Amino acid sequence: MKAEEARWLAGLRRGDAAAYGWLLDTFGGRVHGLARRYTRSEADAEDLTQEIFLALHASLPKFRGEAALSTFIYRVAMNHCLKHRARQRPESVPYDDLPLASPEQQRPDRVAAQGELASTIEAALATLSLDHRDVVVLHELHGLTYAECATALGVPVGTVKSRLFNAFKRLRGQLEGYVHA
Amino acid sequence: MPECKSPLREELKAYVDGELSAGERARVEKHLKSCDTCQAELASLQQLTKTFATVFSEPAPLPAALRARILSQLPEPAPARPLPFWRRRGPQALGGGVLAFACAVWLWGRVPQEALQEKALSSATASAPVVLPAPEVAQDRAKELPQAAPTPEAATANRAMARGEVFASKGAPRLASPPAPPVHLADSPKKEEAPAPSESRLTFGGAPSKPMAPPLASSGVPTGGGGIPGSGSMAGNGRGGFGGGGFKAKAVLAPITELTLTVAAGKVDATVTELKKQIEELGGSATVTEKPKKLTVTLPSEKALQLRSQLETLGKVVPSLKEGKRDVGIESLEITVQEESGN
Repeated sequence: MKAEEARWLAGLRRGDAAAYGWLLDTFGGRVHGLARRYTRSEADAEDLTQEIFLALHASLPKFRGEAALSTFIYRVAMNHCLKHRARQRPESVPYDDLPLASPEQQRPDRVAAQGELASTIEAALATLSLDHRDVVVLHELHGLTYAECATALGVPVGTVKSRLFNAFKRLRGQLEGYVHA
Repeated sequence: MPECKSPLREELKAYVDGELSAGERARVEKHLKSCDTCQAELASLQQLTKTFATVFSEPAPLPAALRARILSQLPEPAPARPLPFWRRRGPQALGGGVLAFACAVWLWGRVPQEALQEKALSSATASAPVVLPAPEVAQDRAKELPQAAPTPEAATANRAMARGEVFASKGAPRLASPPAPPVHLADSPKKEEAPAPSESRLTFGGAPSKPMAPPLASSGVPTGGGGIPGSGSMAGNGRGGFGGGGFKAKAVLAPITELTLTVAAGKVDATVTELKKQIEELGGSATVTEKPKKLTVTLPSEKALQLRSQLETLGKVVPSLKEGKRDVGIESLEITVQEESGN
């Protein structure tokens, strides 16, 4: 996988269109899912996704492999997501009020989570502070390690650890009765 | 259940996520053995983490329409800048090397002619006079002698001559035209001031009289197969400019192939006799013609410099041989001997 990624990365640095096709196939879904968390409509999510990949197109030729490619992509994506959220303030709305709630539920990855549990978790996430929510989204929903979360958010690893602990402390209280040990 | 006050409690989430070092993990595990509160919290964190992983599994792929839209919006990659030839591989590198070599040859051709003349002359190995047909001579000379860039005027003249405009306008039969005079532009005033052919200066052979063709038009222009073989055409073929193409198209200053030797009154015949004798002593031959008195000389290349110095002792030579920019015609030379006029 590493060798294949390195081959594609070389293509991305050259501006190879096929390499960008691979990039979209590999990371497009995740970036789009992330963008949807920071936007209020599907149209905004698509615009933000496009904005992120155009930024990647401009910045990937300069990427020297100091971090994993996925980490770099999440760093760029989070930068744009956080900027987008900053532009939207202070009218931030909870997830359950999002107009994309209905199409969200139609997504294949949410089919298994449909129902009361998924809605409850989303509602619990909405009660978190923005900083805590960012960490939970990246670590629990997108599978980034603490170090990768730290890189994507531009904070120390210790901050990620403490934010995650506090976020889960709160989530446990919100979800008590739904999630049983 | 009382709340645990240990700082290790904050490590529980990282413990579940496998983000602790071995030492930290050992400390947490040691604490867990003695803390029921943390054991219960650990179980809750593990379940919640597992629930997240289950509910939020792999994200959906990017919608095809959005994928196509993004790809269509990507800017065109900038055209790659060609690598310098020393960084290329394969045939490109070879092409670059050839180009570099060609540049080196071109630069070599721009070295001052005086220095290279000596080298060319010293490298000449012919021991007997060789008069080749014009093209062969030109090619041979082109190999031996360095070439210099043509002057703009000479290039213009070459183009005109290539169209046959110059000689045609003078009405001279192109096939019987005399050898091309030297290119040296500094000589042109002298030539133009030269006296018109007089009775004491007869034309060589049966060729029409053309003592001094216009200097500009004479620089290395093919004059056909007539006249002195290998003399005028030497400059015209390959040296003149446009016959060879590419680097061969570069003209050079043609060697002097026609001289006028002015001697004291009454000394023409004696000088011609003496000059013929000296030429024969040098291993060459000379054919003397009358009206004007002219010697058609063929001479081994290596003797050219010696003849040059001897000519200077016999009288005034025009064009001057002391300018050092040209050598005397090596294989073939015409020397017109005339008396001083009015002095």
